[in-house]
Amino acid sequence: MEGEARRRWILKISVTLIYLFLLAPIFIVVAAAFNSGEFLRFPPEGFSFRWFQRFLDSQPFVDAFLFSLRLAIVVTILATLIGTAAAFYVVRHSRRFRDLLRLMIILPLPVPAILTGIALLIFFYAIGIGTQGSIALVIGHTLICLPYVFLTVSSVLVGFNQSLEEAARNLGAGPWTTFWRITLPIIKGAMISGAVFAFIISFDQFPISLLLAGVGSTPLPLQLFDYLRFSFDPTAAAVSTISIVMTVIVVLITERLVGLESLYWGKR
Amino acid sequence: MGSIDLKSLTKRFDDVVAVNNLNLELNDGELIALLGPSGCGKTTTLRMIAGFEMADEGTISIGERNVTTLAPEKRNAGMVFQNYALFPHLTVYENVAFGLEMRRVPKSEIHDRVMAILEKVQLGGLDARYPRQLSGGQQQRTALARALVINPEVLLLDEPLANLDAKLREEMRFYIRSLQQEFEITTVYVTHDQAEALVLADRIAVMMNGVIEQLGSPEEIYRRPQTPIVADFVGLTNLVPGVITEQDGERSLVETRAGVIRGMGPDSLLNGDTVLVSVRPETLRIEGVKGTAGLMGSEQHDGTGSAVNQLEGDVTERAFLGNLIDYRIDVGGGELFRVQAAPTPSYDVSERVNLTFPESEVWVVKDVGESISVDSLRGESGA
Repeated sequence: MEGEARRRWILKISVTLIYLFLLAPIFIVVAAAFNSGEFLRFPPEGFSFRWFQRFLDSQPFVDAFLFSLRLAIVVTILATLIGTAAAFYVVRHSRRFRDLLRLMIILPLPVPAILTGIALLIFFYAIGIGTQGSIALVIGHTLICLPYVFLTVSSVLVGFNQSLEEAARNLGAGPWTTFWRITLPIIKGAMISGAVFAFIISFDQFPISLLLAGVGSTPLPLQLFDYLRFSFDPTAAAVSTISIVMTVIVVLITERLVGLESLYWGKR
Repeated sequence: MGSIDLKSLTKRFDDVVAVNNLNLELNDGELIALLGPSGCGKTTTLRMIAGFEMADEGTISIGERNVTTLAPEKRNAGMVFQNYALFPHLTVYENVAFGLEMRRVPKSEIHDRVMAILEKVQLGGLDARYPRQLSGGQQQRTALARALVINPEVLLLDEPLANLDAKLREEMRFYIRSLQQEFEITTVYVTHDQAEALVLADRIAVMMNGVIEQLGSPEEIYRRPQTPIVADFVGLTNLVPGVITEQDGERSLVETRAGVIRGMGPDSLLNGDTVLVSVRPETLRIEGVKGTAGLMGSEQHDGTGSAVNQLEGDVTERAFLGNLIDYRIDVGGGELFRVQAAPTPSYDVSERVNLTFPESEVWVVKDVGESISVDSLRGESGA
């Protein structure tokens, strides 16, 4: 019993340390955002909302925030649709090239994003799209987000009992009805988790955006980087805090909507 | 309700012929069991009837309709899957109602029919549960209710009891049989469990390597197997190789390494045919050797004077099964006989015993050179 109790204490302490290590920087950023002083520093010198106000008054920041939001939404939809379709094809229909296809889709994960960005930049100029407007950004972000949707959805599809679909067909449902009534509800949880990943990855994306952003389409992380190069006041911390809050809200909403249910539906 | 007619059905997967020119006709209201080891083509046959696999050759008719190329949803066949395939995100009620919804049955009628069938399969009051909240037996009955509620023309069962524990499995055999008879529904029942097939089926089709080895009533299959493979696959039996020395109508005299055996066989057998003699372990009578000589006086003898259907040997193994004792007895000539006898009197290992068996319980099968594969099948059939 002695050893058991000690083990439990060691576990508790190490878990606490890990969380501290992961969360401390975020706490510091958030605390710094409410600093009333002139500089980005920790510990804060007082409490104030003035840097949030500064953010709202700054047109470039608000524009960048809204642009990132719109970009992330479009990218999430595209990546979810394409990633799910790709997962269906690779898991169910690809035969000889299955491993190769899987590798190609998840390649953006192991390849440094900056390399992917450079490659895309050269490619877009070569085919004449260039970086005007935001098409390049949308494609680049979608490419980076695809693996997350693909991996979560295909992991559910691999364990998917296809006799469920056969049973639906046997009971009189056509292929489309079967998909909407049986397949989709069962993989929905995985699709949404993949979509949440895609949203966060796109919203926080820096290296790809750095290379592919056109004039007049600046995502928030780029705007933040530009700002920090010249001024070191807590506006940056306020922007980061808003960004963190956004992410947390997205996760909480999906948790509420599908979290518990998708846990049920994933199992048989 | 309808009959099923399969004509020259063939299905290949790449180079493997899963079902080879299969013909089978089910009468209205009949239950046929497709019995065979895994990989014999029985499930593929069922899946072709359901429409999940398309036949490469041949035709499938349900009732008067040719359904060979019809999509599964247009065949009106109810199916119960081995793993039940209950929709995990739907309640028992929604699962059972699914087929009726697809048929655009009015809501109130759906409700009545679902509730009635749930009552019938003893699931009343469980309609709001999810499949994961049900026991194996309850899931099984939900799957049956879901298949039956749509009033299908035929019922297709794919190893429906394979996932249940032994005791429940035995109960469910009788339950499925009574349900099938109540609904008078033509049924194809796929199983690798010969006991299941014997209990449930009107007729059994024993399948091997994509073809039907034998089609017949459970009793015919068990007592009068037409090929060594069927004899070996269905039930336990002692198969002794030998040569026919005398054939008179359906009565055969066979010379074997263990001695001369007299038995019954098809009248197509001829003198000099190589055959296998099948003697079921439960038809052998076992007696101690000492002091039994006098009782042997009435036994049959052939012209040479040696005893017929009477073997002497040593007990080499003995297993207590509760209601029976399972012996292995070395009768000489390299033949090992399996005998299942009542637990009393009991004989010990290395005790010398006499085995006798009536001519009417011995069945002679022509050996078509498959006796080598018989042994390999034995391992598979145990699964």
